[in-house]
Amino acid sequence: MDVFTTPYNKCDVIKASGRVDSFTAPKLAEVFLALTKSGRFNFAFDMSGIDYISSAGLRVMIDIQKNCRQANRGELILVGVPKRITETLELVGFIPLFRLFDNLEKAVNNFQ
Amino acid sequence: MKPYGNIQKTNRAVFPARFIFLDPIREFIVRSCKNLGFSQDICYRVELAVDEACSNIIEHAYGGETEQEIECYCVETENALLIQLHDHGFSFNPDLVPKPKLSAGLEERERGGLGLHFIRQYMDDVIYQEKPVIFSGKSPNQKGNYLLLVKWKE
Repeated sequence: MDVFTTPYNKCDVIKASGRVDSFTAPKLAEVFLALTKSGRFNFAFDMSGIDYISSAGLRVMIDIQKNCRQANRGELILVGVPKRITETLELVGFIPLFRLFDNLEKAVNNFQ
Repeated sequence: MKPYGNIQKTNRAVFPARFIFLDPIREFIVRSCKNLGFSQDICYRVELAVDEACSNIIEHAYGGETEQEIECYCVETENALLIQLHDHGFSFNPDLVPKPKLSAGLEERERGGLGLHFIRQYMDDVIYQEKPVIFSGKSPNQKGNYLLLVKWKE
């Protein structure tokens, strides 16, 4: 799994590609943690390149969202979620917990 | 036991209880799924269920990554795919784990229990025992956890 970060004025775009499981999820968590430690709390998580995600990845997402939503300081939004993974999110009741966007431009503009 | 039908092929593999082996474990399972003609969607679900079960073995039965083993039988029958996972770790009975609260708001959402939810939703039968369910393997030590996951053909 690869993770790329692109900083914008009001948010960071995190793009993960490949498979997110118990082995690779810690790497994803580290990327988010480094950013929140430096005071960044608005994230557009580009999931369009994710082939597979297990509960290890979902735990990272919920941890980050809880952290970002504290004191209304920010938010984790999801972008380009593949259909199969949308079904995974539905199965565990994650859809109400995150806002979903189709494309990156709209997602980044959301934070302006 | 239900009528799973005649056994057509038995595959056995042993993996170290480390997360880096989730990829080869998934590949091992998907080979059998394809032999049985399961769709891409079903393969993904079975793969995920086994990933979650093995992750639970590593985290909860073994208390973390270890050089100890996960023994996996993948049995292709006329009607079904039977997957037996065996470990020598602490007793970990999935039936005793509380179900996750899937409609809770963000603050109330707990992190755990999602893996088991996938296993139960994506597999047709989930049977836990402290003795072998189908195969006793080549190990002289028969103790530990045995988890049987079954996916029926259509």
